[in-house]
Amino acid sequence: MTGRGSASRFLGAVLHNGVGRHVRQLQRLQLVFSPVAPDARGARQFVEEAAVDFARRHPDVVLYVSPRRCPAPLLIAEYRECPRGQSRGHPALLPPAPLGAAVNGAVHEELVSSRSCEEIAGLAARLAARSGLDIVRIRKPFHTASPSVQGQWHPFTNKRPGLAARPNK
Amino acid sequence: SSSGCSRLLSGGEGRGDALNPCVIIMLRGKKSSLRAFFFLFSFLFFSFFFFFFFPFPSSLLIPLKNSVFPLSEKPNWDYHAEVQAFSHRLHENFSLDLLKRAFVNPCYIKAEEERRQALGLSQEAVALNLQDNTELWEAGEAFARSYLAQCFEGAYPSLPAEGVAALVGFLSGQELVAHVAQHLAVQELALCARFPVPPPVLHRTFFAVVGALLGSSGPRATGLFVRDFLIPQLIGKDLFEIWEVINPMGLLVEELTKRNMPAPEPRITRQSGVSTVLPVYFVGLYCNKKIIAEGPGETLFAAEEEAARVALRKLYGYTENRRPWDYSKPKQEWAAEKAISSS
Repeated sequence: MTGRGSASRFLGAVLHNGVGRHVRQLQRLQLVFSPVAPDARGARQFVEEAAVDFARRHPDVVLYVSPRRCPAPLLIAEYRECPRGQSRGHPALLPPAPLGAAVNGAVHEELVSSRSCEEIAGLAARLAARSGLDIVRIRKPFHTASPSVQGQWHPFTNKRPGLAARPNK
Repeated sequence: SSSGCSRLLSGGEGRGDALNPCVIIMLRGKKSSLRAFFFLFSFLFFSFFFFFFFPFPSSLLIPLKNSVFPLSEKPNWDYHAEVQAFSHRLHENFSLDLLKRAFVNPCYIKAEEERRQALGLSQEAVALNLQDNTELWEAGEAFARSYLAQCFEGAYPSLPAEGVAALVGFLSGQELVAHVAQHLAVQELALCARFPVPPPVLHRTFFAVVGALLGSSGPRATGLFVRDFLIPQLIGKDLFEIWEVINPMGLLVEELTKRNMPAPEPRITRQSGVSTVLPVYFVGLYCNKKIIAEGPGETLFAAEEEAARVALRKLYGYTENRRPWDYSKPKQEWAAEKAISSS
């Protein structure tokens, strides 16, 4: 589809993140995996070896580990509240609003079946670095609140004001 | 009868209509299946009207609505861990007792006690051992307001008291603080009688968190916290969007007399399209025959008012190209870090 047919948004940060202090947008990470299924072997290894390390290096992310019967191992990332109305485009073509995210921030699910422990650790680190805004085409790679320092050009800029400043009214 | 069925099938295929009701309702014969179809259709028709026009309790529709309920009622929720993560996420050292107390709102305590009483528990069991956040939010709000007023007086020394008060009032106003609190995930941790948490309660809970920080880390760290989260909300905002000034020309004349300058003389500097439906006039204000500001407008009156506003922005130092706010760490912290890293 062309750019116009699919959803797009402008570059932005939630709550001017980074201007004051940088706050990690990832709030919690849930690893749901089965204790016996063969494709969850990487997930089980991650829990045994790398999960505590990840939690220590990211004290601001809460990591929940749920070994339970599930069809496939999943890594579910929940981000801080971010305004849902940022993507523009036809409503039918926007990324689907995830369940349970009507009030809270974006929820991103990643399938981690048949992935190794290192891949899952890398994936978790990448999710922790994201802002949680929709992954759609970004219209411009820049954004500013003050686009002009010397004053926005208008057709009268740098033109003589007339032969004399005429007396008022 | 078989003859009736064979006629049904030929009827459906003949017309090539996949949704032919006669094919859906395979009854004895075409006539009775048509009758049955009309009964079914009228049932659907009336149920449509019933559901959409007849007032009936919308609680029946709750399972159909998008799932909007607090995270504390979803699986995988550990309050203590979430509070700790909240503290780390904001790069602050909160004392966890004060922080947990900051999230407890009086409406929650009342609602919980009523619920327990309704369940028929004894008096000792009904009373919750929770302190609410009233003192914390009062302290937090007072501190935030005084800190912001100090910041603005230092940054814009020529801004008058009403201007500073307008800026402080905007930044500690209900909508903005509720917006900031929601995006800082205070809503999930706040204990409140209702969900989603209403804006006044969010406003109070945010200032209670500021009060908790004041109790845990002292005024310097709390000042930096207020600076880092509230002052960026001024980005992209103009002074007169926040501070409503009804007579800018009168205010300008006052300011100029304070600085011993004569009253400004307005002159038309440029104009275009005067006899059309969209004229534009540029009016310049001159003091001692030197221009101090120029502003555009659709009518002469509007252009003069805009020129007065431009002059006021220049006088107060709140122009769009002013130096951005300084969010760097204060110098003593840099010195302390250097000392720690070198030792």
